[in-house]
Amino acid sequence: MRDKRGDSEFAENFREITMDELREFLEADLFGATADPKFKEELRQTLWDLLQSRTARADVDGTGS
Amino acid sequence: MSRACSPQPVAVALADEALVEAVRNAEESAFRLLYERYFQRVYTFSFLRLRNHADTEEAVQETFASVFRSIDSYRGESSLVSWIYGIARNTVNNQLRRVNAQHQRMARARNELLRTSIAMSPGTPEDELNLQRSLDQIRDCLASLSDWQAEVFALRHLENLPIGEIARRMSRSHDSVRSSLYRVKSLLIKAVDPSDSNAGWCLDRGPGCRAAARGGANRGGGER
Repeated sequence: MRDKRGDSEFAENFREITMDELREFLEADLFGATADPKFKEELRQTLWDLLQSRTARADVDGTGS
Repeated sequence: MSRACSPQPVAVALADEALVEAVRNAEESAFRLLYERYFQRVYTFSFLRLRNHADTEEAVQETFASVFRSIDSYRGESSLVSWIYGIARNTVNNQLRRVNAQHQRMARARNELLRTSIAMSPGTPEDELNLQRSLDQIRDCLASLSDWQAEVFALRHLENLPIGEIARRMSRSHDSVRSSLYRVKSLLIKAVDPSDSNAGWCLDRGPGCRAAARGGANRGGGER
């Protein structure tokens, strides 16, 4: 299922990530920017559908892991 | 403390690579675990930079879509957290660029509107009042748009780009761009002619639609 876009995102994402940035990211759930629970649930459902359809497509293509 | 005493579910103990492998196989418990583990981090990280919930929701949606779309490219060369952080950071930076560009376009559009209204210089105080009312309504209408809708409108009508080019730049489908343009046009028509009952439909029904609808209320306002 690997694609070129995924590979380029992968390479892009590793540029210059510092420990301070990572620490801030890890600690971000300690601060209270409260998400709308409805948004969170709808997004979860959308992503799960996306993941399932990708997996099903990969199975059909014979490219699944 | 022995491992047997741990009250945490087994899935929590999954190493990054095992978790990713389970997600690749569309195991729902692994998917939920990854989502729950990172949702608040991505949300707060995005909110601290974007400062409003509508833009944050778009960034979070885009980040997780990228994560699951490119999950196969995760090779375990770095920790999962840094991989996801990298995606979130890029997404938020892109969103910030879009928001800034959109604010600049809005400022240009406002100035243009002001110049036009001065040039028209209505004759009577009543004409002036009506013109001012229309301008206010158009301004409110523009402020109610989500950033991406406003940008689509600006790219089409201020920069005269074709639909295909706008769709490519915004990473949206042609239909999505057309729907957005239709909606914005309808809102503008309704702003200047409230009797038009066909205006103002929301055609985009994804989670981002609510973000779009709330965009104006949240923009620049910080917390809900």
